[in-house]
Amino acid sequence: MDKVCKKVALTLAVVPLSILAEKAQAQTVPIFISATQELNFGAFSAGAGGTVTISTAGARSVSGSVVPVGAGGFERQGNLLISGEANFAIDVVMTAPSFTVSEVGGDTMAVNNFDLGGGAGNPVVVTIPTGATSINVPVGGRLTVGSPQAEGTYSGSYSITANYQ
Amino acid sequence: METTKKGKSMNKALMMGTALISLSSLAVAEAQAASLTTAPISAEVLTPIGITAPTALDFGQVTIASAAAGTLPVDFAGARGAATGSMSPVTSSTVSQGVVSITSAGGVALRINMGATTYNVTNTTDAGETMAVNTFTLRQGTAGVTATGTANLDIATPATTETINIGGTLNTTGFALGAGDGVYQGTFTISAIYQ
Repeated sequence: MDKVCKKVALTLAVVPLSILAEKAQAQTVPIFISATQELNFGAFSAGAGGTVTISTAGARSVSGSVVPVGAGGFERQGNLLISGEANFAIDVVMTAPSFTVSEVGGDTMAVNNFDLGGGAGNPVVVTIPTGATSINVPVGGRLTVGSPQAEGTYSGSYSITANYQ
Repeated sequence: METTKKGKSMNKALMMGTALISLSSLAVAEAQAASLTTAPISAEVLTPIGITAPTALDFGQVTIASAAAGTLPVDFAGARGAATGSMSPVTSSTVSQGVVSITSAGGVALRINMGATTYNVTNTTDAGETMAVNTFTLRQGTAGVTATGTANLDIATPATTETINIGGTLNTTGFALGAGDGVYQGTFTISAIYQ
C-alpha cells in the first residue's frame, strides 16, 4: 500500500506542472474578427480599362484609362477589428489571393493585391496591446477594370482568418 | 484501513487533477481555433459621358464694310447682340446659339469646359480668309448655371441628359472691299468630366 501511495504522490506532483505548462502557452480569449468598414473603390469611369487601388490609408490611385470620380467621396480602405488576448502574436491571412465583385447584370471585376499593412499580397502578424482587447487592421486592395466594363454598382466580399501563432 | 483511506483520498485528488487538465486542454483548443470572417467590397462604374452637338452656333449673315475691326455677339439664348465696327448683321438671317447635349450617369457632378478661348472659322471657298470666335458663354439649359470663356461650368447634380447652350462673339479684323465674302465654318471643342 505504501508503494501505491508513492506512485500516486508522484503522479500528483506531475499534474500541477502540466497545468502550469498549459497556462504559459495558452490564450484563453477566443479571436473574433468583425468588418467595421467596407473596402470601397468609389465611383469611376472605366474608359478602356485599368486598375483602381486603395491603400491601407484609404488613398485611391488609378492606372490605364480609368478616371476616378468624386475624390474624397465613398472610396476608403476596409477595416477589420480583431479581438482576442493581448500580447499574443496573431496571424492575419487572406483565404485567397483574389476575390470577385459583381453587378446585377452578371459582370464582374477581380480584386487582388490585398494589403493588410504588410505590403500587397502579404499576411501580417498583429499583437493586441497590453490593456486592450482588440486591434484595427486596415485593408487595401486593387480592382481590375475591364475594357469594356459594364456600368453599375459592384459588390462582393473577401474572407480572412486570424489565429494565434 | 488508514492506508486505504489515504489511498482513496489521493485517488480523488488525482481525479480532480485530471479533470482540471482536461478543462485546460479544452480551453486551449477553443482559443487556438482560427477565426474567419467575410468583409464587404464595393465599387461603382459610371456611365460613360457622351457629348453631341445637335445645333451649330450660327451668327447668320453679316456684312463687313471696311478693313476695320468689328464684332457681332450671339448670346446663349440665341439672341444677336449689337454689332460693332465694320460688322453689321443682316437682320433677316437666322441666328442660333450652339447646343451641346451631354449624357452621363446623372446625379454625379459634371465639369464642362471650353478647350480654348478662341476658335477660327474659315471661308469655305477661300481657305486663306478667317475670322475669330471668342468670348464664349455657356449656360445649363434655359436657366441653369453659366460660365464664360474657359471658366468651368460645374453642375453639381446633373440630370442624365443636360443641354448646354453656347453663345460667342464673331470677330473680324476687316477685309478689303469686295473680298472675304463666303460661308465661314469651323469647330470648337468642349469637354465634360465627372467630378
